[in-house]
Amino acid sequence: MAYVALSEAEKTFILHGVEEDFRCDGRSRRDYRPMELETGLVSNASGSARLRLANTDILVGIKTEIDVPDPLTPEFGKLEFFVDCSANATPEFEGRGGSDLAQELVLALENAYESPLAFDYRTLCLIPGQQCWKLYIDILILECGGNLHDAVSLAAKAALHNTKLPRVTASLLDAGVTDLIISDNPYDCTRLTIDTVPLLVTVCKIGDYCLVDPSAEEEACSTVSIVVSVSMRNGEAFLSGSHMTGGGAMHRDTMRNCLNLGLSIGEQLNTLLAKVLKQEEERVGPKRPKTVGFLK
Amino acid sequence: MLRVTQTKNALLDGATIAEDLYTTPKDCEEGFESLELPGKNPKKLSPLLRAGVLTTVRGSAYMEYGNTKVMAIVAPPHELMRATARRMNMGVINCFVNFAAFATGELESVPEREKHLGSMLSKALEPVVCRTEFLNFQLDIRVLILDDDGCLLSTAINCCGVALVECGISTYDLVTASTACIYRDNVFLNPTAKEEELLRKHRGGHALAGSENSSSTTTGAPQEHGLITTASMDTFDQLAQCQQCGYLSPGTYVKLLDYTLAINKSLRQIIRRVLTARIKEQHELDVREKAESALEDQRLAEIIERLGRQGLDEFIQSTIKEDPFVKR
Amino acid sequence: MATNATIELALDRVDWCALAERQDVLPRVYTPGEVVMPEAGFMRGHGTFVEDENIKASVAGVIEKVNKLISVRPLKSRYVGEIGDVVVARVIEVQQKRWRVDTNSRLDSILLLSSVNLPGGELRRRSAEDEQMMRRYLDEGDLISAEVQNIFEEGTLSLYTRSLKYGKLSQGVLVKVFPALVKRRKMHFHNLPCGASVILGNNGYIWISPPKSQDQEGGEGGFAQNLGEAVPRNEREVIARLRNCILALAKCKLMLYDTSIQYAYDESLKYEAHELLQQNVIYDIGEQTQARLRDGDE
Repeated sequence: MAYVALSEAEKTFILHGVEEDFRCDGRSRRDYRPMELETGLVSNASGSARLRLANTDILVGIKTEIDVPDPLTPEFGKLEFFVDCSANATPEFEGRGGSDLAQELVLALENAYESPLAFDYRTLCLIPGQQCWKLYIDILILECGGNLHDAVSLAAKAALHNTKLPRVTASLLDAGVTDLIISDNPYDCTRLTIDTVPLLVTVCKIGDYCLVDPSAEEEACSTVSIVVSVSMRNGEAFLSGSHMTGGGAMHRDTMRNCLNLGLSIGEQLNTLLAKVLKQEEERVGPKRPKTVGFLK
Repeated sequence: MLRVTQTKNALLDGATIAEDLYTTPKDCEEGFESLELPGKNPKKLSPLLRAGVLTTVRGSAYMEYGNTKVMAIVAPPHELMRATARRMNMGVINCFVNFAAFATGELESVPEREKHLGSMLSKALEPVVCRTEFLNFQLDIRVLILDDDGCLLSTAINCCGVALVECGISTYDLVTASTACIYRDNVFLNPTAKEEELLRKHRGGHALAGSENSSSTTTGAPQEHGLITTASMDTFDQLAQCQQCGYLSPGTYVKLLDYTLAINKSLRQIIRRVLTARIKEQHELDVREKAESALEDQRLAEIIERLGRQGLDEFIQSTIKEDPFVKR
Repeated sequence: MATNATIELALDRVDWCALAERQDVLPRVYTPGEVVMPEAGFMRGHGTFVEDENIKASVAGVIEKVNKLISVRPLKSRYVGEIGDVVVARVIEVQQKRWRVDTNSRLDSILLLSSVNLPGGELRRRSAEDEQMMRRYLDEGDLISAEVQNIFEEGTLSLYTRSLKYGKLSQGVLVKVFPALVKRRKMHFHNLPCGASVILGNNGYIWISPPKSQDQEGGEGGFAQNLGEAVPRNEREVIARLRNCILALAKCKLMLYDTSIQYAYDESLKYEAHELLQQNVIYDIGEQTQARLRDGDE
């Protein structure tokens, strides 16, 4: 994580605040900072989203390609994540500085999306065993203000929702060779279902308490945090991956508390995101007039 | 080989699918059936462990778990290479995992797995090592995987824990780790590579096949599948790392977690035994060395005493041994 | 376990420009390369250059005229120190007989061991022990309030804390804003009537802490910290609210001084402290505060 210098007194102040359930900016332990979302702002990508969580700014673009499925999973399409911690997020990312963090984010996302129950890879299949879609999910970190995992996963999910795959028709030629015809009408496309796509929730342990959405200062105070990937299926929350990070250890019971907190927050975030995405779609309509982007 | 039957796909309009030779969910099923299902009493685990296998490095350990063979090497901390990696009040731990060329049949994913294991391993070891003791230093831990038969991460953590102690790095506690996975409602403790493969490579292909019957509504409970690796420090009941992949309900997660914690407790006994044996061995060596040096001291004292008694010339005369050849 | 999470759409993003448009008198803004005035009879200052006998702006900003010195001040710039400024600074490194501190200026600033008040009497020789104890007084990461004592040629600031009001800061919150937003005034230490004390550092670092009781003031020798005591909830609420208000004012590009902060605080009372993070609330507070300030002027 980006490094923040804090004095002992500031740390104490933050710690006491967490104990009081009243953090430095007035939030309780379960509150998120306000977020802002926009989808479909990159015209060259099949799907894109920008999410701003206080100072954390994430831009996700999804590109598509036709690929051959893995022999072991002939019916599955492919996903590939790439995280770019650009040096304008923090000077620390300059050179190879951001690569560790980028790798950690990629691993966390890959782990979360690994299960076919979390992401239905069959929807990316064109001809089993022969052709499938491969989605390149490129994540750009523009500004880094804490809680990257959550922001990145929210942005990725919104971008997946926004992704439009052109409709593909296949015609069978002789000798079992198929020919793919990709529709060039931009409105003739299929969308992905994102109901079960997981969200990552970072539950941070400060003192004896767990909290979500830590700011960069709070991250500096925490000894250990657990990243929980929450996927909703049939109205129930499932774990599609989790790991601990931050260099500390925790008790089994604390861990269970963190897990429960993460699951309940993940569930609420999921519904919130779904609601917002639907709302945006209704207001924007199928033909997007213009995007807000970075202006205003 | 099996043949793919025609599959309906929303993205395809009126296409028929050519028959192709491929693995299918059925393959997966067969793979599953060929497995020995875990009995009521989980198999007794018998890891083989040795501390100090290499002589030139300070801390090394070797561990065999089933067919998995792992070697860990810890070098004493040295100065930080990258000043930017410096953390306030904390040393830095770097873990490097390498697969031996013959360790695994599937070479393609090796670099990716090496990276993943390395990052997870350093996360698991960070809470164990007293990092405040080597400020501005970095500790390099290298793990060589000689043979891969499942549970790589947990075996590597165990092995590193021993190597750390062997190297004399201060740690807060002994660290032990184990793996549990669930597939089709069967819990495998410390799974073999074949069992892990079912989960990872087929990616629970079966899990979907099962839910296909009730596909459109997806009312049937989803088939849980997943794998948990837990590293714990049992003196204070602390979890150093808990990594999970797959798809689990919270209840199952906790169940698997408790299984691994139980194994960790028993593993801890084994590791302790190995370490105490190692220290005893070292101690005996020390004692013997001390005895030998005491003997040497005694001999020297005798000579000095003789020298004092006899005077120099006489002493030299008496100690020169006659050369048998010159004599002749 | 309900969470307060909000995701707003970018479509609803607040137009911050609208806030500025309502101002009656907008200052003339110069852009780089623009002719400010003919050179004859004037001296060029910061942010300008001379070409073809004209003074031209080299940064985008407003003009500042001191007698015959013409300079252009940009909105966003790092802090340019002046002697006598009150600053809040963070210690970066402990060196031989001095501390290197971050004051948000271009170069790191220096705090000499001889320019701090050591515990145990004001006039005391600095001994060798003091040099070894430096880390005990101020360690890396610690925050101090100080005054700019001197500016070296290359622009490094030399600070001093040899007054009882300066010294190491205890529990509280640091807020960072653009230095240009902090109004230069006589007083930079304020005990606000709402129940918190604020140090408005000229360098854009603002320190909010629980109010100091009168007897405690000046008695701590500059190094005491009360880490054992937790700040009570009511004071904490005031601090959190103030923090969010100051950030809201900064977001609306309003000048920061005791009156504007107090007005913003009063306006914010109709919201919960955590609601002050939301855009429309920030906008509302900016608007209300601006209106009240204007009323006050008239």
